[in-house]
Amino acid sequence: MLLNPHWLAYIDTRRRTTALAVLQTLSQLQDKKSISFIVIGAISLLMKNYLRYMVYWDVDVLFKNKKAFETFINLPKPKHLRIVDYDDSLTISENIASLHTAWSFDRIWFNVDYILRKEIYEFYTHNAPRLQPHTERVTSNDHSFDISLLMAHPWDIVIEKVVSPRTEKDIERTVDTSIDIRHIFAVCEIEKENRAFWHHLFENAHHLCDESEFRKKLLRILSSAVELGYPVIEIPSDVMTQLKKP
Amino acid sequence: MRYEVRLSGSGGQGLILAGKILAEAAAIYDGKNATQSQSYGPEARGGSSRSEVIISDEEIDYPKASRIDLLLCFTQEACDKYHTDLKESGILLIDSSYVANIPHGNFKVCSIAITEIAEKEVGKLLVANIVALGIITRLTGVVTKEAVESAILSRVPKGTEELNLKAFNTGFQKAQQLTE
Repeated sequence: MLLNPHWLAYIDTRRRTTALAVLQTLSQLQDKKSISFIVIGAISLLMKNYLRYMVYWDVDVLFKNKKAFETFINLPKPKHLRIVDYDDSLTISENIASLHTAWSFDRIWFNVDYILRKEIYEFYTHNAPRLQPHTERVTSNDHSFDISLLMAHPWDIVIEKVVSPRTEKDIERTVDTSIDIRHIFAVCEIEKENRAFWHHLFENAHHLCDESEFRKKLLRILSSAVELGYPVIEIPSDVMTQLKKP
Repeated sequence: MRYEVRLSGSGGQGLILAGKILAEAAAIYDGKNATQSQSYGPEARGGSSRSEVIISDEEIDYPKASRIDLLLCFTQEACDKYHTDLKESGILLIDSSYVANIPHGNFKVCSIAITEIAEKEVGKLLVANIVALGIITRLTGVVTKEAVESAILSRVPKGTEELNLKAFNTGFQKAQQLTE
């Protein structure tokens, strides 16, 4: 059966309603005029139709700063929503803080991870005035859910994942099950003929690292396709020339 | 039936992914309820890693594990720290490649050289987590073999399906030999 939106088909039926309720609640909690958090990661790629497989999805919420995070925690939420923290407290390491939680409206649980990472938040929101919420009304099991969420731009997600130290380690160790690498290949495969995509990557990578460094890392990932178990992505020759530019 | 699994070790051993695959096998392919968590306490900063999966025929009222049915330990540190959380007659599954001192308690111990099997019999050290999944599937029976295979195939690229299924089946067979 075809579902509308199509991405709903990749969330298992048992957790579909909970997933939509989580996204609707986050939509209601997000102040679109004064942004304090955005949704990043796999769920945003899924909702933009870049990922087409069924796994145990979760939602990553990236906060502007600790104050925004604390404000969010204290915001009034739906009465029937239960939130359980998996971590004892906000876990802070060198450049990232996180708190893993599970949300439930009806004893079906959906993971929502809270993340604090200043430079990444700034990167994803550097064009904040032009960010438009992802808006759609979704009906599932006779219930309608209104989603209107500011989410990371999928092409920015590619940039962030390419320069991530975690991806670099996964490439070095040939981790074929790397989730980040899978996302990079998924988006690049769909957008390979789209010059605007490549242009966006080359134009915006400098927000996170040196552009030539970015091109080098991306080239290394794409060149490792077979080794990692992916089909080779046929990149247009002019893009390849740009990628190989010293 | 509520079954609690904790996978513990250090970062880079693929335990979070293994937890996700186990939860996906139960929830997506076996039609059960499942929760999966990755949790880091202050002690996790040293690079330790922990994933918990709860599988239940009924809806899950509370998603955190409290009485562990099966504990997988990929490091001595994890074994020392968590074995007391095992419920009576639970299963302590240790990777004997890394865990030498086996604690005593009212639980069953299953000691298998998981990492060594991954490296020598499957041909890639990094699939030790998938070998472990095969062992867990056979030891517990909490998910079906077919469900875990389907979940693995949903997670890995086409080019490595064979290798990962080989890792899973090797682990499954090792556990089968133990239980025979």
